[in-house]
Amino acid sequence: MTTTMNTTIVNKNMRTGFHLNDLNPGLAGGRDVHIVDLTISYHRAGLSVTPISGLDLYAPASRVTALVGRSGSGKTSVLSCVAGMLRPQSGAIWLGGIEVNTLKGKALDEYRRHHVGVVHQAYNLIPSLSAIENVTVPLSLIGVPRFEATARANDLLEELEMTPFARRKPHELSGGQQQRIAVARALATNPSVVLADEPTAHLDGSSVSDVTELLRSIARSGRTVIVSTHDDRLLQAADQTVHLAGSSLG
Amino acid sequence: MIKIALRDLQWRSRRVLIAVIGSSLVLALALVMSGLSAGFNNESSRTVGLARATSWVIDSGGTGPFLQPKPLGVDVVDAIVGQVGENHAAPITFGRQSVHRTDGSTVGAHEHVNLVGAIPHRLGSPFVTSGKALAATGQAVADVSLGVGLGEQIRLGSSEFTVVGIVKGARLLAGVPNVYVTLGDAQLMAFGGQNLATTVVVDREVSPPAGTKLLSNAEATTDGLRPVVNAQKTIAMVRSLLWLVAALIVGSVMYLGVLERTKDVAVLKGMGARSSALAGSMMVQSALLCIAAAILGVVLSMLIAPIFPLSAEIPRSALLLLPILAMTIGAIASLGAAKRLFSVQPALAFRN
Repeated sequence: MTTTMNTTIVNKNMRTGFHLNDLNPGLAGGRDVHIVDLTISYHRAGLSVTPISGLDLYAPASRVTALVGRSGSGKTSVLSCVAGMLRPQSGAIWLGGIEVNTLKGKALDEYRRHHVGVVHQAYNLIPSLSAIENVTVPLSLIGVPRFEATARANDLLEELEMTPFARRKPHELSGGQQQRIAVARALATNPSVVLADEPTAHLDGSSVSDVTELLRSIARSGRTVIVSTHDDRLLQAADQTVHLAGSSLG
Repeated sequence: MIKIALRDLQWRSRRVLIAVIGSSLVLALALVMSGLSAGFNNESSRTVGLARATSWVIDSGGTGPFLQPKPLGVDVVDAIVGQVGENHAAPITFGRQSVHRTDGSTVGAHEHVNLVGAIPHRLGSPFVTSGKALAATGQAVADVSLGVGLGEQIRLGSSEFTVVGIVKGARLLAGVPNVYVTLGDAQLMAFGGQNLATTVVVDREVSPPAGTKLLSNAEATTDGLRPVVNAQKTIAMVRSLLWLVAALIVGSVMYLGVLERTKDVAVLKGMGARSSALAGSMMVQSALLCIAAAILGVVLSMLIAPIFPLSAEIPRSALLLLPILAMTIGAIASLGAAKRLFSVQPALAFRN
């Protein structure tokens, strides 16, 4: 049993500005994310849950797209599918010319490594690694030599004004600082799309505006930014807002 | 991935240290168990070796030269000696005898010794490591483990002897020291002075006379091990259990590590890290933990072994093999953790 999704797309004016980072050469078909007739189902506690049913969504490059909706509305599930971490029941997800939902094995690993950067709600930094080591992890996964990876991570931390905290472990950093490290990690491989799951959930007021501006800067660099959020302040910074409603249990 | 594995070990250093100490203690005990078992084998083969024989002639109704040997008459002994000459065959006796100092006090912790009667300067009479070889009645050559010095008087049964020589490692029947006296002295104590022997040792080929049989050194060694066969089996079982405990310690540390790091594993998979690479880094952790435990285990075994009342002769091969064996056990024990690691879904990274 499924319910129909109530989806609204609100476009806002496009913003341009400085490039936070250089981007990889363009993907065939651009960096837009295009979701067609997406249905996501999974089992939890013996129940079949369908948080997303028949979702169509277009998230253009250089824009911040915000996903909003109550808890359980499927915001995180959509992000997981775009990240290639969750396989949808049906439908298609395109990043430029890549049909994400059909990727498997090494191709899926390559997609996750090169094309997607994720900023998690709880930051999810590796606790045993220092800030700069956390940023170099995705670079080492794509085979960047250690020296080069460290230089790249240093550049990112400098741009995010985190250089003084480079050697600190995550537990020695504030929430806002951890969030910046998480952003630096997400950007390390110059991904085409950056996904942020409730990026302001654990932040105070000033940190929220910092993260908001940061996400806008990332979008201005030509990337596609998709954010799930409850935060009105973040919504105001989004170029378009997608309202997700309801889930069904079976 | 290796760097992450090393950093994780540092991050969980206290827990890792406890696991290393725990498993090293278990491995040390396993080594000592191996040493005890090897000690039994070695003492029997050394006792056989000290006779400098290649074959042992015993009564055909006996199992060997050491356990309840049946006496051979002088005619049998003469028949054998007659075949190869006195230089290549000699009668000996083997039995148990009480031991005391001349003032009646016990000699260390020993109340009994293995009494070997041999003709001086012939097969069966051992070369000594210090002092003089057995030469005359009233003299004794004792194993160093008896704890008596050269020139000391000891009482075997009701007879007094002077210790003139010391041998090393001449023990039998689970650490009981051997004491060598002349055949005549031994016959006096064991057979009331009758000219009997329990074995004829030879270093040439002989045809055993009727009513006797020929045993090789290996068979004689096995006879010396008969009383400790069950002890060795028990030791082998305890050793297996100790290996199992060590594996459980390493395995549980690795499994708990994966459980605690489920989110990290999901995040890394979400970044495109392959499960096989993550499992590989976990195996590196397991190997490092096991190597550290093995090295510490070797050191601990050296400290623990001398405390045991029985001689634990840890084979060098066991010391060298321990790290490899420990790593193998650690890898097997970590399979559960690896299975868990493979099952972690990257989407878990999004859960809070």
